[in-house]
Amino acid sequence: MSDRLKVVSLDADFNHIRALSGDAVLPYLQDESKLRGSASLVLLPKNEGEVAAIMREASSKGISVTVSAHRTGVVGGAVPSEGWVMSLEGIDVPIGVGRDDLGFYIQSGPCLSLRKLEDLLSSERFDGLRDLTSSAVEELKGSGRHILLVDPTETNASLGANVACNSSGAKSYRYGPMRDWVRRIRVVLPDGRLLDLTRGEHRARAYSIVIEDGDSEKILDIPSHRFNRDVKNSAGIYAEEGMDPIDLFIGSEGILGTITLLELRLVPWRRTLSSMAFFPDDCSAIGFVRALRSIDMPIDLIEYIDSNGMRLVLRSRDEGSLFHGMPDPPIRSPSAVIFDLPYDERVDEFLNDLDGLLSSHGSSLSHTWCAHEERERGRFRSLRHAVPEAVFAYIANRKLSHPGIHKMGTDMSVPQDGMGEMLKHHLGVLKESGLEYVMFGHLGDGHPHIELLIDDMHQFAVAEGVLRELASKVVELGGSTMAEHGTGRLKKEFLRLMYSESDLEEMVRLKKALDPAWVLNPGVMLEAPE
Amino acid sequence: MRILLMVKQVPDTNTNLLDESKFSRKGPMVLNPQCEYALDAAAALKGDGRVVAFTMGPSKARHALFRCLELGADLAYHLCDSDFAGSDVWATANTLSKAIMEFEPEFDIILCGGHAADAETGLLPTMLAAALGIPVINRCRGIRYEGGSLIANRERNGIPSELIVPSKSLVSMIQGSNVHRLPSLKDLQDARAKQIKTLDRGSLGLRKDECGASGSFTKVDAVFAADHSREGIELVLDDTDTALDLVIDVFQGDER
Amino acid sequence: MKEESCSTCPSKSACAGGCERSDAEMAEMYDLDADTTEGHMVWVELEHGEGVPKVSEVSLELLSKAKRFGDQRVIAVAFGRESVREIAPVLYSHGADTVYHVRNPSLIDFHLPTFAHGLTTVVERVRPNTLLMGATDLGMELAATVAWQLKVGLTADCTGLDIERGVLRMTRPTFGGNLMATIVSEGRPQMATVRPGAFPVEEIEEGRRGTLINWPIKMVEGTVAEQVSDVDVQDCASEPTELIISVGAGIGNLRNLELAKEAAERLGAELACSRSVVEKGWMEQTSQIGQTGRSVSPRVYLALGVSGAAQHQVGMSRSKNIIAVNNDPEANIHQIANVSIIGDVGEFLKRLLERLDRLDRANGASEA
Repeated sequence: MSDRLKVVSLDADFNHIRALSGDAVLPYLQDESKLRGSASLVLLPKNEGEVAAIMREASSKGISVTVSAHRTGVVGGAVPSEGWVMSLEGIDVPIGVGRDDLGFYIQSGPCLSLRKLEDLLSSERFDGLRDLTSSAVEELKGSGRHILLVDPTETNASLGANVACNSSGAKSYRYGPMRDWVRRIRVVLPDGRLLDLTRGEHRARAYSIVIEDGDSEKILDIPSHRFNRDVKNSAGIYAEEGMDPIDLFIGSEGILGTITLLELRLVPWRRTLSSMAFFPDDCSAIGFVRALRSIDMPIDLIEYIDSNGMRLVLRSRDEGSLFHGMPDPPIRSPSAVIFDLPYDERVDEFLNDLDGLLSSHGSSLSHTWCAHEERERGRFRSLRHAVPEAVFAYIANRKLSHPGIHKMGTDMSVPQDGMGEMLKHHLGVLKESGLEYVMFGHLGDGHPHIELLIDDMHQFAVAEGVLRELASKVVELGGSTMAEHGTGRLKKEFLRLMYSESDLEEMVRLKKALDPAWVLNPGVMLEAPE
Repeated sequence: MRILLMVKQVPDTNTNLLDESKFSRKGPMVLNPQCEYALDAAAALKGDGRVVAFTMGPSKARHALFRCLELGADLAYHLCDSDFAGSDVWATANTLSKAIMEFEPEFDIILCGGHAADAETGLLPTMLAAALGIPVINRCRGIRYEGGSLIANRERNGIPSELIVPSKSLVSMIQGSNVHRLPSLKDLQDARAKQIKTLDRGSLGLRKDECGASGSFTKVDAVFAADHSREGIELVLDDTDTALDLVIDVFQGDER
Repeated sequence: MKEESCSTCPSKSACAGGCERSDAEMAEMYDLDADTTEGHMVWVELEHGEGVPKVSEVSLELLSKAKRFGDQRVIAVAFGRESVREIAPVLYSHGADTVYHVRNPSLIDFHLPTFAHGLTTVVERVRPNTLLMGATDLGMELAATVAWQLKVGLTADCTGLDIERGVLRMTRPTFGGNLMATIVSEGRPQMATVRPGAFPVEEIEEGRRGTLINWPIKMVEGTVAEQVSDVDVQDCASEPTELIISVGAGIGNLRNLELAKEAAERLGAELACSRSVVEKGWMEQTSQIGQTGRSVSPRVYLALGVSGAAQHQVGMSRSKNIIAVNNDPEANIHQIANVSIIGDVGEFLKRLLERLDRLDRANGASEA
């Protein structure tokens, strides 16, 4: 293993890259955060060489470049403040399949969406894919269905963005975030040169990495802050003594380089039983989550929806705006817990255990829904999205009369032993504020989302104070204020809660070493130095 | 009510997994959507009676039967034999009718979906009724008890009407009230205790030339990809004015 | 001595049951396998109302198609009372050489057991080579019952028919319209139901003559469901939709859906959707177009953010004008669109509504 990374220069002509201007730029100015920016030009590179040419041109002229893919982010990472947008939408093709000691992996351009990857894998037909190792495609065909284990919720998002933001999703409870499943990436640096990083091939010497370019070399200092790995965390740049440099580019939200090719590990698909259990009140549901965590059962995910959340979903259904056809839950005004188990010969055993567990928390096997066929599990997936969708619809509606309002929610995680204290504190603060809210999400990970239902600008101001208060408590408990959505443009304030001035300065120095002109995704995560 | 339920397992049409050269059976298989309506109706009408589900298909078609057992069926028969492969609608009706007459001849009603989402001939319900010599009511959108009779809502030739369902008839459903029914873990547990009986050619007393491809009168001669494509013009939204002019013109009746 | 010979064999030697010729040889010698069926038979579906019944369009399409096969005579079979005679000239002019009038004084409504029996008896008398009917609600029931009774194959929903030396090649869409399958049938008649509109009516010969044959039958006893009421008949009398705006997953959010609703209202179009929009719970299943929804063929089909999966295309590919708005230039919908607009659906709708505002203002001004 070496601490030296070799960069390569690529030839490509900047002048023949497809570009959009005028009104055609408009769709690229916004993402799901609904933040709106501005840009003079949208560039549509068709390959890695063109990405390099764009970065070379931009860094030499000092023009800002904001990287864009499917714009599904919720923290404004793809929203340009000025200059150019570089949309990777044209580099979206799956390329090949390989196999090594750890199993199969797929190689793809960065803009392939999770959904398209899923379709490709479930079709078990890989026409046009290359063998990266000898006859890997045929071997994969003969090995049953494979999947990407990480299961980020937004399947329209691109693989590249998921790697750049180290997404996690519901199943990270058991399988960790995207980082652990990335085998290799190719990254175009802000100056237009290329790095090719395969996990395990390089290792920092303590806190430094050498970048070689022909005869010249440059030393890169890794920030010395402790990156919080105890909880789900997407705040700041990942750093660790003796780290694999590939991890610098995973989760750094694209500010250090642009991923132009990636390889992700696949695992064999297996049948899964998804269940949704209903409880008469929030306490019982939370108690059940705690019990489920402590019992010896191979659970893949645990998600929680509080009674406010269920009420909002059912109200949207009854008003006819959303979730048409969703049946009535078996309990009136319930709270709910969703969890996944393997669907195999152990299922009768699981059912017996669950029977007791549910009954002691005010529920029962009859007070559940379950799904084990793929189509049915798909419906469950949309149920899991039901709360955020209902919140989104609610806010969109309020926005009509109060345009200043936007979504106000948390993305914070705490260690398991801090869960009780966090919930107690949060619920106290929320009650005192008088705001309406819903709580849902990855309770099993110590990572529930709280969304505030804001009606007017006064409440909006109160909500800002509430979110600050919640964030302080989470940091105090050793948690992260940006568990999975990243920092982007919207949450930079929270970064200051988690990192000291000098921590942030070290991150800025690292970025500056790779991007002296500060042209790549400026304004994302870090403020430009004076 | 003694209800027989005829179901089919089909590829999930939500996913696009077709091989242009053959009927692809890879990818997720599901209970045919219109069979869900029939299952739903069966569970609603069952009362103190029982529901028996039948399907003909390869071994994985079991999953479709299992869903029936979760959502209200009490017993299932799986007509499964490599000799059944390649059955056309005639052979299918013939095989199913033999199974019914042999194993469940006492019934009050047979329910099934109107169309299968894969082959979509929509002929099976009528042909099965003909094979059993019983009345058929197709294109039902709902069925219920009222004043001691079973009433079906049928829409035929676009005209809805209400019919009294004669005893021992076959009713096929094209719509239902509740598409998204979800079983509970209790339903799952119960279903695992119920029985799926496998019936092969021998147990139906059929000769080899009476079923499957050799018992069928139609043969697929060629399969090719459908071509719906037409000559068109392409605009980008940059050409806003051109695009909008065109759209409004076309809507107002200006043929292009 | 009188030579004994078998009456079925020219062999001079006595066979006395010990004939050594195989069935196949006998069949070949006497041409026993030859197809002796002849004629293309079409079931004529009638719409009964006041006075003379009306012949359904698809029956005329089939007569015309059968005539264009050009190889055999064309036989039409129509059920009903006395007044059916009066439609015979229409059937002749569209290609029928012979019209069988299957009659009974109480034969008015479609009565499956009687119709199936009646048609079967005509088939057994005429022994036609093919038997065609429209793939309509009634046609399908009748075809399936008759095919069972005759023990012959039946191919449903054909969109293509070719005849080659008496063999009917029937082509139908399958698997959600992704694939076309060509099917041949053993036994005679070769039966098919055919989608309305699949073939044009061509070469109408006014004044063409034919033969009318009366074919009285008895009503067949057989239980059929008894009708208790018609429901809300107004509902079903709606005109076929001329203008449709259809939204798919690419509509993105509820705000855009609201814009689409507004645009539909102002253009006088119906708002429909693809399956994924129903799955999201944004619109009712009754609005769904496609394989598991409705099939439509409007004059204009504006597809907003519809990707155009084959299952959706089944329901709309017969539309006269297809306009697709989708920001994915690779979306399938663009392949079947007359006009493809590559762009954001939300942007498109906003501008469309602005444009309609301007038009309204301009019209308002000119009227004032």
